[in-house]
Amino acid sequence: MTWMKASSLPEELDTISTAGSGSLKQAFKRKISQKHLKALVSGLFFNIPSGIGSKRKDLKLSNKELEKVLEHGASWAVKNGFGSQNDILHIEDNGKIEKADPSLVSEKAYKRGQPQLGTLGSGNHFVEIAYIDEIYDENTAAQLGLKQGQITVSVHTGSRGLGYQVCDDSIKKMLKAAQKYNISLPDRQLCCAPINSKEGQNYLAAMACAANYAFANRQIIGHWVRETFEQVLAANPRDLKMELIYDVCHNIAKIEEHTVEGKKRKVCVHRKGATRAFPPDHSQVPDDYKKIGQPILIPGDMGRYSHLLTGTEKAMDETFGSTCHGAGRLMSRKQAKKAAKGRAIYRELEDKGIIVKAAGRTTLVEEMPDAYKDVNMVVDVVAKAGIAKKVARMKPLGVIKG
Amino acid sequence: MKKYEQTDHTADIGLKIFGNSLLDLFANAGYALCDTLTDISKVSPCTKQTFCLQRDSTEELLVEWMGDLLYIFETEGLLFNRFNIKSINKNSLSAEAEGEFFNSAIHTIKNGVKAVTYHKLKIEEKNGLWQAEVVLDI
Repeated sequence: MTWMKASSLPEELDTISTAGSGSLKQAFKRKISQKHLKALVSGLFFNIPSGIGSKRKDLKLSNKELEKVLEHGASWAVKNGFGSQNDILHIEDNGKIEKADPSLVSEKAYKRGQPQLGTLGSGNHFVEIAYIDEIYDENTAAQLGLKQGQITVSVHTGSRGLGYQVCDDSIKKMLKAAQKYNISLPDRQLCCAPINSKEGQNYLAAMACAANYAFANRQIIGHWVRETFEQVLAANPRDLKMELIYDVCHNIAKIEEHTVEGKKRKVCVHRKGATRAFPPDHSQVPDDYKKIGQPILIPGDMGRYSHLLTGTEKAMDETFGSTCHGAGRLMSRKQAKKAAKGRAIYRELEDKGIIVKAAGRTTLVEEMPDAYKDVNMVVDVVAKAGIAKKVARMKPLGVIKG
Repeated sequence: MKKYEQTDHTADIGLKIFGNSLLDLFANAGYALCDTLTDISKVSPCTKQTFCLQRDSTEELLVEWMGDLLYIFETEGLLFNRFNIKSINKNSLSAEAEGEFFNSAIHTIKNGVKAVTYHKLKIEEKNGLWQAEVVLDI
């Protein structure tokens, strides 16, 4: 997930944005007109390829160039004109996982990845314009440059088909590895190998390529978000000053140092449906956030809220520096379709003041607000458990879905 | 006999696939995947693709087969509606599939399928009737 903020927009306009393992957010002040909002949603939908098979004709990659993306992540995007060097400072691991080895990524993954860089995808991926409707921690919000009513944009997308192919290729290898290392599997999808084995190390190097692709993907989409705002609001980048708040992963395995039974140890932390939540003063937290801890973006659903949290010491003590990553589904996709029968979800959201554009009706129905748990309750649980601190809440205004 | 049905899964799509033989089961698995992607009744058999696959077990072969159909759709835009499994044993499959290239004026995308998974993967045979369970990552 990635977040960006634009601090001094003309009069009513202020922006923030964030992104994670496939998402970005931004915000403007609530005063934004319906006309502008509709134009922004349409502009985002036009500029950011969404849904199956969509791509930008102006972004074509050779295998050699894709190799650089896999190695350098968000830096490749910045070098190629997507965003600025300042963005890099606000991305988990500066948008590049070390030891990525593109030679371990299959031809099939390259073929899937080439046309999809800079695309949103489908399912639960989105770009959302929202505004800050509640601030829980004035001091932290101020340090992040956030205030009540500010407009935000978030983007949720990831490594697309390239990542799924890396997974698929790795599963085949891991099924054999599990046999080789006599690991009994409760489910084939949970196949694995010791992390220090050749198979384990090769997997980490291939996964790093997928993570770097995802960082670059969000960086490119973030750039197009900025361009869309500039086009629709006829403002120049200096006036908009849309800055990245943070970009954080929520599906990745990382080698980190944690205290286990009183001793510092290197461990592999797999955050699957979990977000990193590092506390103030942690070495991996950007310098300008050292006092407040790492920002965390928790998307809810397109009809209710999303939250901005920060990491805590307690998360380091109890959850290997991790917290939740979203609201979580309440209904299966099948149940959601049944519950939406005869309803006009677009209209229901529009009546609440939320403009939605989706590539397909099925996605919209499956992702409708009722299909998700109330994110407020989920966030309250992690805040009460002390594994994250509530900072601000965002209410959606406009959403594009794949 | 119905070819397949969708089953409940919180975040993904579960498929229960049926067949009168293993060949039939694999053909219906191809149908189930493509019918999950699009309205398969709108797909015409205009072009043909052959498949020769090898894996360590029949279950893995099923994921490979469905995964290949998905890969071809994603990289070439080819949707299939006819599936002819020529031969199959525990480790290998030979098949042909017919279909046409995605055309937004004719075809709709029902679901964006990210991957065919191995989660809860199962193939069973009872009294000559075959059944498979596959979860699609959405």
